[in-house]
Amino acid sequence: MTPWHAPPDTLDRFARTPEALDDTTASSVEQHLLHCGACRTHVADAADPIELDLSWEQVADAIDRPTAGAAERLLVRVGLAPDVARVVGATPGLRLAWLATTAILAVAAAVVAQGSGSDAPFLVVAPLVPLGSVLLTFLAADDPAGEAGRAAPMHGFGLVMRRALATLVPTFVILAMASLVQPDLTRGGALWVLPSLALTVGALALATVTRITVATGALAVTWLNLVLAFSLVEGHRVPVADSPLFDSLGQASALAIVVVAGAVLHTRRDLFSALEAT
Amino acid sequence: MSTITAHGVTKRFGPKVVLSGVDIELGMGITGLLGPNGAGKTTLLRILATVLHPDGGQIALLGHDPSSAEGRLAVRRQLGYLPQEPGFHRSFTAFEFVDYVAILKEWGDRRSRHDEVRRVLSLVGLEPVMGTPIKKLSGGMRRRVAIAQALLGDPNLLILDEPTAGLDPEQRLRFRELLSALAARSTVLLSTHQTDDVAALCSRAVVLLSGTVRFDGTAPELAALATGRVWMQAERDPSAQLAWITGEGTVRHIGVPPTGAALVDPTVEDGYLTLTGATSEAMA
Repeated sequence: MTPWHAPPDTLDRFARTPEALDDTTASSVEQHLLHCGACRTHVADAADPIELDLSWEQVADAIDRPTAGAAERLLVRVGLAPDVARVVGATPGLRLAWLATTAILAVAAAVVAQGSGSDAPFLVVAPLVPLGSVLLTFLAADDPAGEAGRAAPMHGFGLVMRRALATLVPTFVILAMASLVQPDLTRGGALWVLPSLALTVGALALATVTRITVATGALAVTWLNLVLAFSLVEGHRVPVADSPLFDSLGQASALAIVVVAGAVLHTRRDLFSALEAT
Repeated sequence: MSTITAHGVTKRFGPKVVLSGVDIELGMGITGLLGPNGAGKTTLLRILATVLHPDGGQIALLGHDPSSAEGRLAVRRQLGYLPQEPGFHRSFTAFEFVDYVAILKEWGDRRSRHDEVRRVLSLVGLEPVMGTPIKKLSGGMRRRVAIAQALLGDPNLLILDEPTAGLDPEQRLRFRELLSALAARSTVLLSTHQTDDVAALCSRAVVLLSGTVRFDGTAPELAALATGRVWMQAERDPSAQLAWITGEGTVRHIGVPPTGAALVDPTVEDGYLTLTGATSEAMA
């Protein structure tokens, strides 16, 4: 029996202008090609080699394309370019482990506050959490490209700030949610914000002067000492929220630190492309 | 024409002086940086790769001053760097890792970036495992992934810290082939403990000892340092600086030969060992 072959002009159209074939004919040709070597050869000869290469490239690209993680997909949704989202999404501080730690700390502080009726635990701990996020953003050992990334042109202020923001935004959101369950929402609910920003921007500014581990460590110790020092007023211990650290002068001081540290950060931003591995 | 110029480069870590007034001028082609562990090779390469500041001295890379932000950026746009410890994100696949570095190297267009990633991975023979997570690759394969990222964009300046460590003989040969093709249009500086790599690949050799340049010349000139100081005999001569039994069963010696010794042509390794003053006692 002579084997049946698809008409040559149909094969030519299938190879060159497949959109000109109706769906039934295209499906029939596809099925037939699976079992007919002679027709496959005909199609291969008829196809435009440039178009063919392009098709293969598209197939290879679809296979090789890195899969985006949850954080990366979210960043693309909020408008970041996919390549930038990839870099920012790989930020160590965005890892689930750190975000979970942040959430646990915030929840623990909130639970203790509810139990004791005091917002002191939250007010003391909350400003330290963003410091941890800043530290993670900088740690070279956790950078997905390691030291090779530090020798890349994108390494610098812009990248560090994008990564820091990507880490800090969810950290502040988690803290803001935890602050909603503080005993005195009108007072303790927002008192942590300016000190947290002061420590965060201060750490970023200090990172242009010293190693990030030293910068964040020094600021954490300073913060705890300030809390202790200001909780004593005229020899008497006062509730943390009532200490001068959190009154209007304390908040104004924190705002001033944010502004000054921000100015330092801006002035010294070029140094971020030269920050050395820790 | 010099593409790398370093004058009086110094670096210390705490009380330890790691580089003490290093002077080098390199042009296109491959230069091998030799030296024992702790000689300062990695520190010098990190400084030239713009990831570490020198404490003193002047450096010019491809005509730019890396101490300024603009200079660093200009250098990094033409640089390929293989660190001694690349620090992989182990959950990335080989493709994802190189693609990630390509993004950091400002390859914005996804299609051309992915083409380039495929190109460099195939150059190091990793095309079949592009989609494999790095944590599942062997040590040699991981080294090749790290080499691939350094080759992105055919850089004008390639700095490689022990690139052949962990590669099997076949891969080392393939790597030599790859580098020699690149050297026609780039400056390649590689550190290695493999003197045969220097002999086979490098138009120039620099030996660093205790943070200073102790030799700067061609590979044959390095080998020539041991001329008249290498001999073979059946038994070990205790007066030799260094002696070891070769595969043929005879003993190769470096040092002041005894009268009538059967002198042989020195290799780059002989010259290097003569220069470093390595002794059998020290290496035991």
